[in-house]
Formats: sequence, C-alpha cells, structure tokens
Amino acid sequence: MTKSMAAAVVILLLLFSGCAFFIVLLQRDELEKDVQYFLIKNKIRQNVEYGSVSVPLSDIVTLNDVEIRFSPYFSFPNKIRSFSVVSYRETKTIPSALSVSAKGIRFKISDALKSRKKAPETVIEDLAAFDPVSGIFTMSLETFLLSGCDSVNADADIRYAYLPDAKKMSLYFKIKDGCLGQWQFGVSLDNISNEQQGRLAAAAGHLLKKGDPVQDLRDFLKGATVTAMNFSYTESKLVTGYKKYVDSLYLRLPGQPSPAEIDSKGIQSIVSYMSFSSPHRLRNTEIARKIADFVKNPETISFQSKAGKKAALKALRGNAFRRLTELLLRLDISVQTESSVFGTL
Amino acid sequence: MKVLLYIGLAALALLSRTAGAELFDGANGHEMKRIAYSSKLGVEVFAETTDGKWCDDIVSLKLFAHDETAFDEALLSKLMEKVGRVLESECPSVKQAAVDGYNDNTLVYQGGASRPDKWKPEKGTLKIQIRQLQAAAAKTGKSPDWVPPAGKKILARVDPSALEHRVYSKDKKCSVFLTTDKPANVIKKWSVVVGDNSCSENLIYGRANVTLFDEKGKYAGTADGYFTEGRFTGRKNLNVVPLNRYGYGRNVQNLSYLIESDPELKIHYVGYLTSRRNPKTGRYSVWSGCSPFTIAAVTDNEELFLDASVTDNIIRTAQSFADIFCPGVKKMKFFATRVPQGLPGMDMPETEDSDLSEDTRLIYSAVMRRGKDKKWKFVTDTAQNLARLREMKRRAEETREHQLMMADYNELTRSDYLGRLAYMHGVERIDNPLSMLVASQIIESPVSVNSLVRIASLGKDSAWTDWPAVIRLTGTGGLLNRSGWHIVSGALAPLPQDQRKIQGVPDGDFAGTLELSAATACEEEGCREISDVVSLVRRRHDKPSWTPYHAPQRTNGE
Repeated sequence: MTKSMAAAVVILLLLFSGCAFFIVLLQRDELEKDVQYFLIKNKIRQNVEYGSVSVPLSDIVTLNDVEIRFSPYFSFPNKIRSFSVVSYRETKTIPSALSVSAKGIRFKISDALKSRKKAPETVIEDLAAFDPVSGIFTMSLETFLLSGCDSVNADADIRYAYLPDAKKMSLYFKIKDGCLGQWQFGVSLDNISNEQQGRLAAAAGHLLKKGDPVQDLRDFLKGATVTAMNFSYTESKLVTGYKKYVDSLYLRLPGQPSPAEIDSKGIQSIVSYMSFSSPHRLRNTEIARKIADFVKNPETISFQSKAGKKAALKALRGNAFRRLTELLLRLDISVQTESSVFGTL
Repeated sequence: MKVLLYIGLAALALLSRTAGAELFDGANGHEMKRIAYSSKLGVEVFAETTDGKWCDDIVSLKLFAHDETAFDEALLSKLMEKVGRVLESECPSVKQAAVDGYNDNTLVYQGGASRPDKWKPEKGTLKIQIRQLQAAAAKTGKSPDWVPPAGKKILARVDPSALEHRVYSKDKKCSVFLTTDKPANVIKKWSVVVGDNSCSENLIYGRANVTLFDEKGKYAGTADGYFTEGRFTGRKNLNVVPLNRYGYGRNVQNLSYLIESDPELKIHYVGYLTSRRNPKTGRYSVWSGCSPFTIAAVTDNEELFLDASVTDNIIRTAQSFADIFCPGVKKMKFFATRVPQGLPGMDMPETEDSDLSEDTRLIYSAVMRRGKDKKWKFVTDTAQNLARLREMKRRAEETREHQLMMADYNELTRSDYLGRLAYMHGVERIDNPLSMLVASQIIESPVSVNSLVRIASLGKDSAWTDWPAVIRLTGTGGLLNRSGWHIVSGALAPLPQDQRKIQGVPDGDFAGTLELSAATACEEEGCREISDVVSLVRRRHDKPSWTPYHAPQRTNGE
C-alpha cells in the first residue's frame, strides 16, 4: 500500500468513526426522547429518575442508576443499578409482550415500613400481636424483618405476555436476593379482557403514586381463571431466620425441639385445613409432608399445577389464605423439594 | 438469819395487837386499819375497811415501806409469810389478799397473795409498767412494748409542754408543783409556806395548807386541801401514781395517772386530770379528773375487744374505777387505746376535725352516763368498737383477697406460659424481644418491653443476655444480683453497629440494648416454676399459706 492509499484509508476510517459516533449520539438522543415520552405518556415521569440510557446494541434499552420515587405516603430510598427492557411488543396498540430485567435493586425493608408512617403504638401492637402463620401473608414486610432480612440487594426478571383476542395472559416473576432467597412465580390466566389488562398497568402506576395497588389488582383478576401456576423458592437465609424468630416466640429453650418445625400433629393440622377445601387426604398429606420437610431442611420447594386444571378466581371463598389454599388444590398442585446437593449441580 | 426473822415476827405480832384499834384517814379516802408493823424492814401494813370492817374472804392490804427494797421478791415473801399468819389469826375467814405497796407515798408494787399458796406474793409488776407507760407517752404514737426497763425511782415524767414550776419553801425542804404560764425566772423567786404536812421527799403528798408568796414576798394565794406528788387536787384526795405531766397549749394542762395494771390481759388503766386556765384571772384550776371521769385501757392486745364478753368485762372494770376514784360521778369516758396519751377527747382537746374512726391508735371508745338507778348506760351513738370494725374490715379484705386470688388462680390455670410469666412479673404481657426490636427499628425509638431472658454475664452496672438474643442490659445496679433466667422490663432498642461488631453478632441476628427498669429472678430453667400456679398466686399476694377453694371464715355480722 502506498502512502497515499494508507492516508486515504485512515481518512475514511476517521470519517466512518466520526459518522458512527455522530449516529450513536443521535440514537442516544432519540432514545432519551423515547424514554422521556414513555414516562410522560404513562404519567410516571415524576416517579422515575435515572442516570443514563445505554446505547442499544441488541434492541435492549437499559436505564442506569434508576431511582423509583414513590408517592409521598410511601417513599423510601432505593436504587436500581440497571433496568433493561429486553423486549416490548404491541398488538393493536395493546402491550402484548414485555420482558424487563433489573439488576442491583437496593433498598431497606425497614425504610419501606417506616415510609408507611404508622403510629408507633400501632406498629408495636401489630408486632406484639403478630401471628407467625397468617402474618406471613398479612404482614409480609414485617415477616422479612423478623427473619433478619433488612437490606435488599436483588436482581429481578419480569415477563408479560397477552393475547387480546384469546384473552389469555401469562406473567412470570423472578427475584434473587442474598437474604430473601430466590423466588420464581409464573401464572397463566384466561378470560382477561383488554380492560382488565389495563388495570394491571394501572396497578403498577398506583403502586408508584399511591402505594396501594390492591384495588387495581382485584379489578384485574375479576372474572379471571387460572389455567396454570408454578412457584418455587430457594432458601438463602429467610426461612432459617424465620424459624429462629418462631423459636423465640414460643420460648424454645436451648436443647428443646424447634416449635417452628412441623411435627406430625402439625402435618395433621395442615391436612385438616386443606381437606376442608378438598377432601383428597392422600394428596393433601403428601403436600403437607413436603412442606414439613422443607421447613425442617429448607433448600428449594416448588409448586406446580397439573396440566389441564383450571380454577376460576370468583369461585374461591373465605379469607386470603383459604382462597389461596383452595386455588392450589383446584389446580391439583404438586410439591417438590430439592436439596442443595442437587440444586448446585 | 432465822433467829432474826423470828425476832422480827415476834415484834410484828406484838405490834399487830397494839395497833389493833388505830384508825387513820387513808390516802384514797377509805378507812384503814393497821394490822402489822415491822421495824426491821420499816414496813407498816394496813387493811382497807368497808363500813368499819376489814375482815373478809379477800382483804385489801396497803404496805407502806421506808425503803423500796422491801418489795423485792425475797424480802416481801418473808414479810407476807408473817403477815399471813397475822391475817389467819385476826381474820380466820381470809383466803386472799390484794397487796398495794407504797414507798414514800408512791405506789410501787401491786400484787396479791393467797392462803393456799402460803401467802407467797405474786411478782410485782407495777413499777416496770409505769416506766413503760411513761416511755410510751414520750414516744408519741408508740405503744408500750411490755419489756421492763431498769431503774429505781419513779416520778411523773414532765413534758416540755407542761406549764409547771416547782416552788420551794424558804428552807428548801418542801415544795409544790405550780401550774402557771408566768416566766420561769419570775416563778423561780416564788416560795411557799407549808402547814399541816410532813413533806416527805421534798414534795407535798396528802393533806396540807400551802401559802404562796410571789417574787416580792407578797401573798399570792393559798392552797388548802390535798396534794398528789406536789400537785393540788383541792378537796379531792387522790392518792395516785402520776405518770405524765403535759399540756395542750396554755389553756389545757394534763396529768395522767396509773389506776391499775392487768398483767394477764396486758392492760394498763390510766386516768386523766386536767387543770384549766381561767382567762379572766390567768390562774389554773385545781387538778380535777371527775368531770367527767376519763379512763383509758392502754393495751396492745386489741383482740380483747373482739370478744363481747371480754369487752363488757373491761368496761365494767373501768366503771368500778369510776366509783372508786370519783364516787357519784355521772359521766365517764372510756377509751381503749394503744397509746397512753394524745387522743382527742381523751386527753387532747377535741376539735371539729377530730375523727378517731380512722385512728389506728384507738381501739374502743364510749361515753357513759348514769341516772338515778346508778347504772351506767352508753350515750347513744358514742360507743365505737374500732377493733371489731377493723377486724371486720380485715376479714372482708381477706375474703376479697381470697376471691381475687381464686380469680387469679382460675385465670392462671387457663393461661399459657407467657400469661403466667406476665403474672409472675406483675405486667400485662410478655413481649417477644425480636418483635420489639423490629418495632423499635421501624419507629426509630426505644420500645418499652417485658421479656424473658437468660443473663449470661453480669457486670458492675450492666449485663449481657444470650437468649433469646444478645441484649445488653444497662442500669442493672440494685436490680440484678445474679445471672440466669429473669423476666426483665425496660426500654429496648437495637444494639448500635459498633457494639454489634465488638460482640461479634452475625449479620441477620438480632441484638439489642435494654435500659433496665425492673427484673424478676427465676429459680428454674426458663422460669419453669410458673407451672406451680398455687405458688405463683401465693407469691403475688404474699400469702405463703394460701390454699385455693378454702375461703377464710366469715364472722357474724359481716
């Protein structure tokens, strides 16, 4: 190559580099505008702060150093290292697919509880009257704290899919934290109208703005039928910590068996409770034993509904715990436990 | 020694015959007959007469001695042995003798002797009882403890509140106690001239005619009548043993005296004399104790007044003293009290605010009058038996406490472990420290808790627990004295981060600090003693012998 050719190549490279740089700047600017447009359109611009937007090299939009600003009634310090929209698709202007991933979600559970601004007497009374079974569902954040988990540093994945014509929706949620462990939850729903689907987005918005998405979630699930469901939990410190708390609650003295573990009497109680919803005692006993095994040696527990089973939510009766039990039994749920030996393979 | 006794006996027997017809005006107004005399012991023995007769089943003897030692047990036994023979000789029907012993006209011995006991005298108790009463009066509100102090001579104890000065004759051989509110330095220069009295022990006892002269030597008055320990009683001859001389302000001056003691029932009967100031003349009246006759039964033995028959008996005794000391008196006030002085209406002036119904020093009080039939009758609504009222109240409280204890017992038998722990510690509930640490973390302030903990180490003013979590207890001085299981109360907060690191508390484990306000030590692992519900109730109510289902007996009238 002659000197002039080399010079021409360098100049071309410089030109191409300059163009690429300029294109990236234009794209970033365009993306920034798109993000801002999305936030403003969904009226959450005031609720989301971020440091930067990553250049999309593979159709993945990533917001860095995100901070969620909840409503003044439910505001606490939090930070998400990166929030990526892995995929997003619309069908007839209706969101039909979404996959997001969040890395490094950091906040303190105690900060979240403080932000509720309950009267000190109420906080004390609620905790003094804490029921170690129903409290798991009614006072979940307190349960985490009582288990010794306060600082959260988690990664999460959320997937959403919706077929408006078929009125079918599937949701998937996974979160992994050093103390809270790994949670996976997937559910397939039938009979979800477009309007109901909109309530799910509204629920997310209300969570940010009012801190209470319950009514929206109720509206979202109104008339829905669960066609499949799975859940799994892999222990880190949560169950172990909670067992310690329950031991102290029932004054477990050194050398005594743990009252937090489920003995045969406890298994019978669970079976009786379940049998009230479904008289399949053999299956119920198996489920109860699996739960007892898991509590005794917490590693991984998974719940999986039987294919082809479905349960209409409106047919469920009783309190939240009773309805959940009935739902699981109508879906003919099966329970599996795994030890860490297999889990790490 | 025996020879000497026989000589003494012979002399006594001889004297008994020579003294047979001699009568004299006794100290308390009763006729007395001298029945014996011992020159060796310096004792004269008189028998009290009724309607001119002294001989009966029971005779009343007055022994006048020059020396108090004559009433020491050994000498008195020998003397009474001889007196007994005289009695049996002069009065064959005699079976018992009541004995009053006087030294220098002061009653120093009271006792008795009987023929079946070969006239061996009872142990005299009067002197020590007088001292007890004087001591009790000096300590306001304190009752006599029935423990005899040592000592010899007994005179009325003069309180600083007594407006009293001793005025001597020019030769200083005789004196009287003058009640006056004049300054002491003035009265010091006053003097008396005493007629018709031997004035033993430098004080006038009995009948005398005393003329008073002021600091300028001018005539200041005459006291012609009877004196008791130098105090003028006018026409009333009161041969009594003054106990305490005191006053309540310048208008009312008091003098208490011992009437009699009942060692068996542990009662001292005390009478009261008053001297009132005439606002016009500034002079004080003669000492008077019969308008009305006021008598107090001083005793610690409050239970006596729970029995109606015993109470009646004591009141009858008091009524008989009214007849003896104030014959013909128509009104008397009776008090049963733990203290010999200081009760409104008894010796203190009454005020509108005077209410003795809550005064624990008073046991019983009543005002009695007698009419033409000479029978004493209670003035309506004046009798109050506080001993009985208190006893009824006590029993009602006991019944109520039993009911409360039974309620506690029934409640505890249904309570869970935490409920019993709370009861043992005397609180509403037992908290879980971990829950309360979370609460404290949320509200960002210490939380008041009551919790079961195990103390692993105890420092000077702090301690560490190792169950159910690592908790640093502060302010333990005076509240904790050993490690082990305790129920503690205080303000709980999370342990600061630097302290967690020092203590090596793992992340996720709970640790706190508790400012201690109360602690109950347990005896057993995990305070398992609470499984004994009866002991728990007993401990709480401080009734170590309480038994469930056995209610205390109720008294009639409750």
